[in-house]
Amino acid sequence: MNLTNEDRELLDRHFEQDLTELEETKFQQKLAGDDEFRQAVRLRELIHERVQANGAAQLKEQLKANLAAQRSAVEENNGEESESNEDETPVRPLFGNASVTRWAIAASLVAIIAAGIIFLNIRDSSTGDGSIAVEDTTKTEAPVTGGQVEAPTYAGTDTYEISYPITTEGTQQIKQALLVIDETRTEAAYEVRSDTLFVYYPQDIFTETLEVIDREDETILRINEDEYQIDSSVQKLLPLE
Amino acid sequence: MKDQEIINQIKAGNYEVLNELSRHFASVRKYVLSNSGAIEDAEDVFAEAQVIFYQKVLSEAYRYDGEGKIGGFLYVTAKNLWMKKLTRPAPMMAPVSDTDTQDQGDPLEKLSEAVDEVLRNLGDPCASILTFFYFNRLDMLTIAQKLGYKNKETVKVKKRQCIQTIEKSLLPAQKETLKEYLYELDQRRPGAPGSAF
Repeated sequence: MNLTNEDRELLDRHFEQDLTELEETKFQQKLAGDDEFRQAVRLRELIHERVQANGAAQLKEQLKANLAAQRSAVEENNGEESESNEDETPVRPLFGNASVTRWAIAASLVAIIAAGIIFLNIRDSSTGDGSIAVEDTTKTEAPVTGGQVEAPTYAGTDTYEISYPITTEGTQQIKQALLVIDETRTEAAYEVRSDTLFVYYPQDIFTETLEVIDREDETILRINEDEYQIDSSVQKLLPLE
Repeated sequence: MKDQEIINQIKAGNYEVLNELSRHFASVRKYVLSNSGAIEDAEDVFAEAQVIFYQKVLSEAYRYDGEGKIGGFLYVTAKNLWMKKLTRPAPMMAPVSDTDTQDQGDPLEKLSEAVDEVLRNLGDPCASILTFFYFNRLDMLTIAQKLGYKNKETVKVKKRQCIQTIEKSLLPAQKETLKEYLYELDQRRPGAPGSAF
């Protein structure tokens, strides 16, 4: 493939999208009538394609490594904590191979505190039939010691509840909290009462994923693919039409 | 971080912002685990969906349609990828025959492998410059800033040298084969003389 310097310049600038209209016409003419030139163009196209394919493969590996690292961190954390607490009753695994101990819950709470959650109440409630029990029990603030939060006392019940105030300022806190819960591979159930979003976990799951979405004047909670409006005035989530 | 901000960051060359999207992983994990997959499978298809999203944003093929839609896009894409993997037939073992040993394989595939091999051995700064330019679609100035070059002209010259290095690496060893492959490749391209496109 013997290209003149002029041809090479034309080729380079074509792929840099830097040709004038006149030059582009010249490029197209050469492409149609010059076999050597056309082969050079095809080779260049192939090189670009392979650079893109390799870049995509590389990025995918990086992203996978990131996901695997997050998983390992959670598993390691769970493993270490459960080793040091073998005599205590573990929270039963939620699904698949992801076992969640109550210390994972504690870890999520530490992260919530670190993320700047101001208001956090924990209490436990029990459900016998799989439904979410909402009891008006007295809430106690999570004890905070030296930047750490103690694990909630596991009393053999199935559901823990965390509550968050729903305010404009509170939306980001909810997002952070839900993200943390998600990272511990704990699934949760949700309910809005008064101006508070209640999150129940890790038992009796009725949701898969959730996402808090800010729109102009409202906050939307998406559970799986269904969207709900958080309406504190009627104390529940209203399905969006 | 809001969807719009994620898109803006990607367009500005910050691909690390993709890690923000791992918050959407839970639904994909759940889906794959409930459909005969392992956690590694879920991570694989989710990462692939992230890459597809990234490429779509860069090529302006992803349309921002209000907040909260990226999660849905990733879920549907990953779900489709997993379904495709599940339904893909297992590769058949080809019977070995004497005539098969003469088979040279698909020319385009062979040439792609040869290019891949050269790219693997290319090293920096060529590998970074080409990836930034053709995959991450960064402009010359941004690449210059990222790699510490004086100006965008330096990057442009360097990039052209890198391309020439690749072409030269391919040419001597495979001059005739390369011509044959390129002819084949040319026939498959739209607008090629005698091509079906």
